[in-house]
Amino acid sequence: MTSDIRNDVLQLIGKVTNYKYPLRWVDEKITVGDFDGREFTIDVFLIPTTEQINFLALIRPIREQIRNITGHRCIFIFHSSEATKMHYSHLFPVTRGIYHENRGGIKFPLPGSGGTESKPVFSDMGIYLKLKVAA
Amino acid sequence: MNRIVIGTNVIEDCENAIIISGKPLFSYRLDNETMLFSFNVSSPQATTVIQIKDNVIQKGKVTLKADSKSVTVKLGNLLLMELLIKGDTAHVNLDLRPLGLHIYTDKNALHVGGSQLSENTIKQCTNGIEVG
Repeated sequence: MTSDIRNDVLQLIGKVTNYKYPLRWVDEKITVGDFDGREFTIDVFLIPTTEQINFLALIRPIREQIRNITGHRCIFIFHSSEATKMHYSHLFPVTRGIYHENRGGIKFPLPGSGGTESKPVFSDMGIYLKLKVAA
Repeated sequence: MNRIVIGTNVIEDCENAIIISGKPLFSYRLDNETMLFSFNVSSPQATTVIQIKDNVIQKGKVTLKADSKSVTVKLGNLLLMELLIKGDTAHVNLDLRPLGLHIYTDKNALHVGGSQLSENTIKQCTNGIEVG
């Protein structure tokens, strides 16, 4: 499956779910084990267990379309908000409390269609961290 | 002083708060108590092209409401951008996900892709946040 097809499928799912949940095709950064249908598996992150049935209902109208595009039935793996924070924080880096002055700003690559893993790039100087003073 | 708060991040005295693929996402100025707002999202970065210049929608099926203290841009019922002036600070809420761009704010952070920016200060830079 080409990367264009993979992006198209994520865009299609994102559109019907209003881009609410980050999506990612399974790769070695997420799952190391092998299983049947691995190459047709999509991880859905930050999705509360109460919304997982609704997610499947939302994508039901496009599942046949996805099957036609990929040539296979897709598998979805849901990760709750808690599980995402616990096991996949490397896909969702947090930059907090930085003071950045007189430089080129904070740069990001254009986010991919799934909305995971986009790390900021800073210029080499002008960053200060505000340290809390110990009482 | 030009001060903008986006998802708890303060962007101060920067020429552009956010640029996407080299183009400023938004800008605003006050002209005789009227806010003139510009907004620009291009394709192929986004699935839909939107161009607003000085409150005039030039491209894109969006609606714009503006008064002296606030601006909202909506795509159908979905809020793409909201800018509120409070004192000397502009507060920006953003959600470009309906345009296929994973850039949005919530009460805690600005999200770009999977990355979160929270409680950062960016000062006197040409571009505060550069995407793409």
